[in-house]
Amino acid sequence: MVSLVLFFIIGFGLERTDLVWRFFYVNSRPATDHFLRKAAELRLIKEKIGEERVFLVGSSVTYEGYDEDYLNREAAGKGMRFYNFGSGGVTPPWLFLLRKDYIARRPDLVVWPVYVGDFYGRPDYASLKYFFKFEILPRIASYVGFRELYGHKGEIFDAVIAEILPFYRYNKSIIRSFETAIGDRILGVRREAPLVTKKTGTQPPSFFDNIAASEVKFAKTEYTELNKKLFLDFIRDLKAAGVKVLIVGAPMNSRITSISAAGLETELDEWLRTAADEHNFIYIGARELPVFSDDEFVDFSHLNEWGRDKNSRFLLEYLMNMTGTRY
Amino acid sequence: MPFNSVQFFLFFTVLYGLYLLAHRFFSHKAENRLLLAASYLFYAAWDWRFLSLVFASAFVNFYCGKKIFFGRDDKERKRYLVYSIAVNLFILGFFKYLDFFASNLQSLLRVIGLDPGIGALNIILPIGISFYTFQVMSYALDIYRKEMEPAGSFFDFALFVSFFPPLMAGPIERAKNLLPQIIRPRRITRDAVYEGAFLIFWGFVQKTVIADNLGFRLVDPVFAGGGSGPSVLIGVYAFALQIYCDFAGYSNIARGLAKCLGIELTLNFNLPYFAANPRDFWRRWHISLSSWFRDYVYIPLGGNRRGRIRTIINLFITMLLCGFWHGAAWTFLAWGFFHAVLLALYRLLAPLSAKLPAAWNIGLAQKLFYVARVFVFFNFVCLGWLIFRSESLYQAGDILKRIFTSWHIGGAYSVIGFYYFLFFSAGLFLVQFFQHKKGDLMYFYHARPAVKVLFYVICFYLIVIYGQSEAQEFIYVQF
Repeated sequence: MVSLVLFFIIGFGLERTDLVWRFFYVNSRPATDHFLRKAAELRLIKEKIGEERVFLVGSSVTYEGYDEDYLNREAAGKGMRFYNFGSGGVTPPWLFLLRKDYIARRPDLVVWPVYVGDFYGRPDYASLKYFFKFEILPRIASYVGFRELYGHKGEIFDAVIAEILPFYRYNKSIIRSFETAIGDRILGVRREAPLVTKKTGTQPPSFFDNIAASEVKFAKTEYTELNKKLFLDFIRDLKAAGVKVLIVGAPMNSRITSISAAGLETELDEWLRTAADEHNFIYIGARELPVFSDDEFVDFSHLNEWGRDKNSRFLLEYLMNMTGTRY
Repeated sequence: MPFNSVQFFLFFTVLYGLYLLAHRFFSHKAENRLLLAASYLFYAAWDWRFLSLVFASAFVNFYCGKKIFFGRDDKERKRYLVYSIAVNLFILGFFKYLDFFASNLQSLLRVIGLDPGIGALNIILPIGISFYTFQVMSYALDIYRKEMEPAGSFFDFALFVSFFPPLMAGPIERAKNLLPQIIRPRRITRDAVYEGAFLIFWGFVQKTVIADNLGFRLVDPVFAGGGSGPSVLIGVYAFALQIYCDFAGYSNIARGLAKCLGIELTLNFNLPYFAANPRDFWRRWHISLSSWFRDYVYIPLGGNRRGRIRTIINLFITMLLCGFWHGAAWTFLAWGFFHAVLLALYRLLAPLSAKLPAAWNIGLAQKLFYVARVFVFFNFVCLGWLIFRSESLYQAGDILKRIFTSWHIGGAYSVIGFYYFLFFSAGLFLVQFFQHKKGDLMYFYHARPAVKVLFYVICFYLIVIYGQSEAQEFIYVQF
């Protein structure tokens, strides 16, 4: 019993130590340990020092869609700092669970690029443990039923353990961080900042054809209503905390229609416009964005280096050119 | 439903609650029926069809046991012993060895130009069959030897056959140890429950932290064909630790579960890698199996009582059977043969140790000499594990060749592999060093509070960070 108490005390102590998070932030690997890195990055944000904070949140579409280095370089003298918290597989239910963590770091603006996959797909339960809080269970149960929860009992059990035990949430990533640190010591590399990688180039046509031939990826599911509800709840809570919210219809490759049910893009766009009016948030739909050609995408939904530049430039200009209140 | 799964956790939690209720408010008979039902449920969770085999085995051996004990004369007693052994060996032979014999017969006939078209029969190997079959054979043999009486109740005997903690991978319980504990009312003391919980905890650490990590990080890549000499060497050493922690982990969990239920199972491992010679090793490794072969094969063959040559032959027969028990493959036979050679050499060379200078047997020199012998013998054991783990004898030869011919450091990955090996093996060594030094396998259970707390806290962190949440099957379950 004493050991258990000590275990939790040490664990919670370490979880509140910046040094530990700095280690994970610097040594975590770019793709496999995204959740740990983003959690570390969020934790390491200090008290406000006069700059205005813009959090870019959402899925990999967000991560690949914006070049935070470029944005920060360009906004350096303008008192603005960008943080890209986009992570693969983060859909509205998981982002809803992060809202309090975001609010605690006092952003001025949260930008969330959304696309059909956010609303017309199923959440990735394998990544639930990285975000889990008990409040999600009744919400999922009320919209999609207990049967669905039972179907994911293994992932949910793992997530519950992750919520209770310190560091269990990121255990595999922590191991890889140790490996990176050891490898670096051996190779004599001294790392001050994390290694960042983003997708570049374009997939060959066969990639698109094969996926399009094999599946309809996005269609209305039993999760759609839940996704919409939690999307709106996320916005509501942020706004209640004084955070402004900008929702962007993420640019998509024109071939996205080959893997989604007919009319979904239009349906989503219309729903978002209505919701923006009703819930008082800013929405930039695809028609307000610059035109993106298919060559500016790596695949169906992720921008490559050229698309990313264009998208980042547009966001910066949009924020700078806004009149009235800054956002 | 492996011990290291969520399902098992839920299963045991519910069962234990009911068991304590039965223990408190109902009769001993109710406890046994509950355990029998739970054991059948546990087995059925793997494959309910083979439950019939467990039941049939219990039925036949219960009947034969009675007939052996109450037989009119020796002839009848012997006849029923033969029936019992034949049925058990038939079941084992059919499910475990038929495919092996069929495919080897086919290969042999092809050599002389015949193709009988037998092919692989792909018979499913029922889990735990080698363990419970040997368990029931000891029952028939012990009754025949008049070392015990047959069970009075079929349900009690059925529980002896299917008692779930050792069902999948042992220890292979002797009827004269387990059956009386089933038949007589049990006491569940607080100490026994705490000890059981400690064994479960340590077994869980051995399995999910040490064995599984060494397995997928260091061993599997090497036996899949990768790695340079140093990685292969580390991989083979790692397998020695993996199989030990995997199997000893299972045994500890099984013993711990049984202890919580008020039943004492046989000790299966006693620091085997601290053995300095093959005889010592087999007294420490898979004790329930090695003692089974000793008592029911080696000694009945004549043991060491019929001269040197016959002793060596008996050793070879016993160890080849022991190897074959592990599975129907030439690698297991070769592994058994290898250990027979070690045992035979030791038997021949052991008298020479009496001629060693007396100075080697005093103080520090004695300790260093012991450490050197342990290290050298550990390397022989590892050579055996290399054969054991290989898919074929050809692969074993290839891996052995790679250890000696491909000697270059393969970059940071090899070094990280070395780090993992050091990390887990040092942790295990530290625990076992204290167990060995204090002569107490439960040292960390009995240790001073500060040591105990440190041990638990470190283990908790190892589980949280390194524990494999995806339940990996225990290696010996496939035997």
